[in-house]
Amino acid sequence: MLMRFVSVAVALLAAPLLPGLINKTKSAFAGRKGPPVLQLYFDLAKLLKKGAVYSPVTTWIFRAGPVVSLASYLIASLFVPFGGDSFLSFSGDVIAFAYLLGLARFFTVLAALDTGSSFEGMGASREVTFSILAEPTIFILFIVLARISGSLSLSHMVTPEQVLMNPSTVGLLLLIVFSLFVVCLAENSRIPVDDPATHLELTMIHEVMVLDHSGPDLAFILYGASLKLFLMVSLLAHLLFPIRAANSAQGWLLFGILVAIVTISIGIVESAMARLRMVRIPRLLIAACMIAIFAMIIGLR
Amino acid sequence: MEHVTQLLLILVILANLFVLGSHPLGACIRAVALQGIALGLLPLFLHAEERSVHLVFLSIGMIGLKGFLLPGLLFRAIRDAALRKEQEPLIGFNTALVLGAGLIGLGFAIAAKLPLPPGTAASIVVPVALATVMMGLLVIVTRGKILSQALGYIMLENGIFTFGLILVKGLPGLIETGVLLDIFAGVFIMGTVIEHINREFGSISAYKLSNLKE
Amino acid sequence: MSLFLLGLGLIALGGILSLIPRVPRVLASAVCNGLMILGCAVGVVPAIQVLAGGPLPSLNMPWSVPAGQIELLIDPLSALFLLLHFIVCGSAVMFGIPYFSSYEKTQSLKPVRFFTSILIISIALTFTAQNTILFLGAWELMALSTFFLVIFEDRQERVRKAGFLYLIMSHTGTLCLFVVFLLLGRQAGSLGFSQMAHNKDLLAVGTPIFLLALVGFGVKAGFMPIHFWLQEAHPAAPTPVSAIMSGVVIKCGIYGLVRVISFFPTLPAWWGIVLIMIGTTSGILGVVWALAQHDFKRLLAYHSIENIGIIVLGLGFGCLGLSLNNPVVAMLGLAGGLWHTLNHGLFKSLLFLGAGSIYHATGSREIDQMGGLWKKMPWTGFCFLVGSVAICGIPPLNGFVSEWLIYNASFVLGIHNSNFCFVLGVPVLALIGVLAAACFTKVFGVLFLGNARTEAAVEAQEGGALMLIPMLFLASLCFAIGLFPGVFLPAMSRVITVFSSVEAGEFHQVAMNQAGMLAWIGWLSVGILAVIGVLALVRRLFLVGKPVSASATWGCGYALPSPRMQYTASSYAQFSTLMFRAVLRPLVHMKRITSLFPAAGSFESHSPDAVLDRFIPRLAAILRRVLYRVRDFQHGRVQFYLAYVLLFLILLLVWEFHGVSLLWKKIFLLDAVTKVPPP
Repeated sequence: MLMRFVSVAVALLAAPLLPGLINKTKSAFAGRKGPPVLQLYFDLAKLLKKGAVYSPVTTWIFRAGPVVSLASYLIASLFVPFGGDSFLSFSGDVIAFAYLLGLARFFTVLAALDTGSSFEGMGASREVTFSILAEPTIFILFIVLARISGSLSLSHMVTPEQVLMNPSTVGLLLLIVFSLFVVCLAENSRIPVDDPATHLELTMIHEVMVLDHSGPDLAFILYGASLKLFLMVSLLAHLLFPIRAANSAQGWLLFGILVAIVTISIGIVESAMARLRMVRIPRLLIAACMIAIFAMIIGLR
Repeated sequence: MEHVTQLLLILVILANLFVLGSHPLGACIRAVALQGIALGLLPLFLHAEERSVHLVFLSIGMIGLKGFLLPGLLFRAIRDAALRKEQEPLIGFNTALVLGAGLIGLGFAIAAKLPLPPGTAASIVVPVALATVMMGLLVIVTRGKILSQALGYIMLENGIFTFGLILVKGLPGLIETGVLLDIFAGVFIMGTVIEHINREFGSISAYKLSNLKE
Repeated sequence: MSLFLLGLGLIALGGILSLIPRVPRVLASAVCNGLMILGCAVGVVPAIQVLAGGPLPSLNMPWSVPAGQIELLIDPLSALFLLLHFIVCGSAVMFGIPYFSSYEKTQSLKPVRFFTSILIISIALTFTAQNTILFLGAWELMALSTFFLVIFEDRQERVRKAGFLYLIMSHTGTLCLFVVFLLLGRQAGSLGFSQMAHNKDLLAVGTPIFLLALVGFGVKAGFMPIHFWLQEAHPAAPTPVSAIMSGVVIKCGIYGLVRVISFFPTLPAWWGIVLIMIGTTSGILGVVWALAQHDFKRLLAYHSIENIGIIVLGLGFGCLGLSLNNPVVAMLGLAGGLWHTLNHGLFKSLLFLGAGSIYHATGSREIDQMGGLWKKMPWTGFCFLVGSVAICGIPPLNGFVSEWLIYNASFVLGIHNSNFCFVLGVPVLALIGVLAAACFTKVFGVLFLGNARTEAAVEAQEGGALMLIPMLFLASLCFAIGLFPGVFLPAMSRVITVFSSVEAGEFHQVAMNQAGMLAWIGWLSVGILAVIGVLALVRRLFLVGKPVSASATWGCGYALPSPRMQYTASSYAQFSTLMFRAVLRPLVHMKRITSLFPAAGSFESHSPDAVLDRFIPRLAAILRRVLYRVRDFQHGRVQFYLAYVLLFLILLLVWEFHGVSLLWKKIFLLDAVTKVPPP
């Protein structure tokens, strides 16, 4: 129990490293030095020290948005294994995991609409549209994983050791990883779906929704976003090397390396690709969904 | 060897989906070339226990033809005709993708009902072959440019070839050569025709070919 | 039973008293509505007792109607629906007191009160009747009283049309039900439900019974292709009535279907698959159409179709589990489906009451004319938010609990079976859930958040305590089920034992295992609230002593933003509905901007119903063309008329003596019916 607690605590502390690592990778590709890996920690510390500015249009929904979404990410992180067993697991917790992300999205979108700004409405509209495509994809992948692993608990599903016994499922796993990777890019607003570094409100998705937040609220949002990224990357990292390990130094080390690999590959994708036009993004997500369906068709045989 | 075969076949399907869902013609040609190379490697792994000179030759021939020669010809055609993008197809790319996944499912459903030689039922070769044939047809039916239709034609042929692979031991080399020659001639003629049509009309839209009736 | 009858008696008294002429308005309202609310409160008690495991109250009296008998029984299935019924009706009646008072100057409220009491009683009888004649009588009474309530504002043509559409559809459904119960009665040799249950003879005519019951009950419940009275009648009815219709009346269809299925000792697997298909279609298409609506009552009506889809999906998995002898799946599916019936009744009536509150305050049902209502009506806003989160199936509220059970049913089936239909539930539910979330962020965001878009929205205010109490009551029930689902599971497992094909002992075991997992869900919900509370406190602490200032919303430097520049419901949903334009086929009217100094432009889009506004007119046109030809037979020449008589005679002779009648019997399974040995 203690070890599980430690693993969750370390994960929560390490989450803001990921955006730093991605930015470092992108800088390396662009031949720049780039901000330090710890940049997000500095940002969070600074934001927490600041006061806040609220628009008179807003109500307490606007203030609740960051709190509720961070709370859902925190609880969702209890179901995700970080190199060992997850903190909590019960049969059917995958559904809870996905719906917690849904709760976070619901309130982020409401907080955006609360400002009465058309830019934020635009971002909210885009966010829900892309989630319409991403969410079923995630659940289709869950079916395949449930079938491979014979379990309905997230920590067992992302470490399907059965794959090692049955090499014919390796291809299946690759399809899953590919599809989940695309969904991960979309859900965490990375290039080619959304550009976290963009400066034009008209082209943004996630960034424009949180445009009016400031101070501790913005810190909650930034931390929540990095935590969400960390959760999705953890799932990918486990799927890349599907062996279940108890919480131990080797397990954590291996997990850390895998997380770094996935994060850096996100950075590479961001450096190598341009952002897609907004109307093209559904096609990318539909392709990911169709690949997931292909995996399901193979998996159901 | 089972999982290498499976990976190659998955690659074949992914190439199909890619062609259905993207419009830069060059990328589509590359995807089909990749599909050809994967298919060329397939006999070596599918019949790993009895690799013969025959198989190796077949493999090299396939890779050379489908992976390099035909794509090269098509690339020349788009360079000569200065083409870059597919025009808006008959059905949208999103719909085409969804239909593609449906065809994959259909392929698997049909394959489950087919009377197949023993030992091949568990493999995904047959469903992949069926799906590839149908997706090739889908491309031919829905795309506007003759060049994309040629790509669909190659995909269709790739599917037939995959289907033949399960029977490769019993298939005389003559038939293989015949099939290969067939497709080669087809694409070659198409390439020439495209060039001539383009020179004559300044466009290679298949829709405009209806002007030739009378 | 005496409590139940007392409750009905009080409600009836309330209805009858309302007819007395020349009573002061306030007194009439207080007495009639008070009696009805009291009756509902009394009626809830026996339902809770039965669900808690108490003895099953019953009543058996002779009745002068041929083959009829006054036979009432509150078994757990009835109790579940009665519980929902009395809660929703009590709340709606209380809400109706201030709501209808604004009509008092122009219209008499006597019919509303009278027919409401008839409606409540007839539904309660529908849920408890154990005799076919009584059941069908109550069913008809329910349909008629609903009709009279729907056409309350009968001066509007639209309302009258919706009422007649409802009446026609309802009777078409009842026609099918007559055949269903006739077949059931013939096979069982009795019109009593107790003789029909566990009857093996029923299977001989199982297929026609099942299919006709699907149509007959499906019309009432609103299954997708035969749903089309629903989105017309719900907005036309006064809002408290819509709440009862959406919360209870359409659930009568579900109740009837479940009751008929429960008679069969074994179920064919294809029944489950048909139900899953219906659930999928209703669920997805219902929510897609909802997304495209901008009248909020119409939108809620389409959401009822969606949720009926989810319920049927759950029932389908349950039936599949029963026919595959998989008690886990059967338990998960049936419990999920029936529980969702209860949950949907609660949050949908909550949402309708919230909508009624807004309509009462602003006089409009257009979402796009609202905005910023949270600041004027914070309590209504809070209740509406609870309903919105619950209907999307998001934790920590009750919608998540039932959807979680149905998800699990599909997952468990999918792990062990290689059938595409079996796993269909998972992506379908995910798609429905995320579309519902898109839809309700739209509704809630545009209604309550941002700035007011019209003068009416600026002047809106709460409708008083009598409107808020029922809403808060329903909202607290949503929370209670979401936070303590484990408490409610034993009641659900009791409901499931009503099915003839269920072995009680085995199911009890499965139910206990599920209770363990549901306790996790309960803890999860409690945990979410706790973490939110802690984080809110943390945020507060960080802001202590820091400057917190107010400044205008960032408008990209534009200095003169107006409320009309906000994202509207239509613009918010436009990107999403674009993906479904192939099925929605929205109609768009717009004035394009053409010159350098354009006149005022406009844009308008709406998505007509696929069946009512597209399919049926087309069908009618074809029919009319065909039937026009028939007129040629009537041309006024007597010889030809005589020839028709002769032809008909010849036809009849051939029919009777050349085996056609035998063929007819074979086709319509009349053989199977006549095979029953005489008692």
